[in-house]
Amino acid sequence: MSTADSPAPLGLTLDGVSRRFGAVEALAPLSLGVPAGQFVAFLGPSGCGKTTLLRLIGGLDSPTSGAVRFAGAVARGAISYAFQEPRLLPWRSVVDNVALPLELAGVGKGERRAAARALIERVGLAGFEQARPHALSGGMQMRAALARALVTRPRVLLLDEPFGALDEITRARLDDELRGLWLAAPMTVVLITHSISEAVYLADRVVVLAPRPGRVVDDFEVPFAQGERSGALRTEGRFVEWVARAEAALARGVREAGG
Amino acid sequence: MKWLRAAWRAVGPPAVTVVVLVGLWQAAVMVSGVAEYLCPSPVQVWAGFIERRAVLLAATGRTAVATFAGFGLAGLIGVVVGTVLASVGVLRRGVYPLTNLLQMVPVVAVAPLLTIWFGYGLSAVVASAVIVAVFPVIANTVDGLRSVEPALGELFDIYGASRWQRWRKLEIWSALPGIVTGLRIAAGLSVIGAVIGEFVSGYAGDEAPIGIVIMTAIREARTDLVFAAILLSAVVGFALFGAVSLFGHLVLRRWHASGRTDAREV
Repeated sequence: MSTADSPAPLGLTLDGVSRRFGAVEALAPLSLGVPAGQFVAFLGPSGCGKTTLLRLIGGLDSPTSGAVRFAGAVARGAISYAFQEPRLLPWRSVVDNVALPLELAGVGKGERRAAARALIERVGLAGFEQARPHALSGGMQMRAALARALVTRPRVLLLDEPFGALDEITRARLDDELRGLWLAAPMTVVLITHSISEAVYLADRVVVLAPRPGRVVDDFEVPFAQGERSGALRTEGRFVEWVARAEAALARGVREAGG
Repeated sequence: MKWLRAAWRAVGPPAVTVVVLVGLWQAAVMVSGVAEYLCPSPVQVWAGFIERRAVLLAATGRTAVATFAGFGLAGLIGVVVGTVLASVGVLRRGVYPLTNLLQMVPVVAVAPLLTIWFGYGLSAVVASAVIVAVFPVIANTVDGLRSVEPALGELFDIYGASRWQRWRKLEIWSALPGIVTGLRIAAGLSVIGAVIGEFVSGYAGDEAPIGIVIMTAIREARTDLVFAAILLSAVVGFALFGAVSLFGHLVLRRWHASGRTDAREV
């Protein structure tokens, strides 16, 4: 899959989107735009409505008011999802798990397996095509889930704390690989996380959310160039400054919420 | 030779138990001097089997046919009915609780009716086996289909799966471990249903199945033949149970805990 024949990334706009569950306001009306190809992280504590927001963008849930608009027609498979858990089908081999979205779209066996194999190699799982998920480590299962999310060549990739359940070492490695995948196949990425350093490290833009009700308390761009984003950056002073800014916003939000 | 050792580990211990039990049975009969028509010894049962082996083996074959047919129909009907009940909410609430009645109606009481509907012979016997064996398949299919991981269901939503794709690629697989359990229970039950059916609706004479052979032997006070017939019907059940377990092992071993541990733990 080369950059040349990848479909163009798709921008999106949140237009006064809110979500209520009974008497609970999970998400106060929220408006912001995500330009095509941006890597944006929504950062917040649990209960700030960030997963709700992702589900609204992904069409798994409908907003109480407002609308999510995409800057173009959304074809099947144009929006992909990776969850906190790998959600692999235990009875299927890795290659058939990765090929599932194409299979459901009616793509023939040879074609979908070839596409799946290419992505399996890209996420570093070559040699495990025929393994069943239970034979893989947590990190490898997450790689397979990532490959499955990418197999449709999505124009928008939604990530719901995909590495949240992994150890820090594996997580840092997958962060780097995720960034690499995004560079190789341009797409708009919306990442949900409660890890401040992950948000600052991975994203071009960080939107900080506060709880009760979910709302935006800060929204800033992280100015690191691609070449600078490596493990060493995480300990540098300018990185720590951006982390401190996000941390201050988070603390302010929690204080305002009376927590 | 690894598989040979594994096979011995699986078959050896129960085989030893059987040998010991048969030995104890023989010793008990010889020491107590109990009359043969009350309780024959294993040697006497074996002698009776050899004497009437043509009749007994032919009867076993007929009972096996009825049992396998009953089991097959119960499996098919169970999975289809279970799928329909699991998929259609109205039916699940309105009909599924009533399928429990199938379990509570004694098949012995229904068997004479089956003779009226199907006449004497195979059909009535198969019907009896189906009635007894179908419920656990229905129940386990419904439970299995209902217990699909919601997170996996959401995945199928995201990628726009059709109802049929959902059933074929997600639900039936999720239900498979349960269905195998249901089929295992049905294997044993279908022999019971078949023999009860034969008591009531089996042909006598040249085409007698196991149930009729037992009735005839009882009237002639040939307890040795009764024992031989009982053991042969157990062999039919055991063969079916073994086949279902093997099927379960083959389809589950690569991904499901129940299929994987089987071989290691026995």
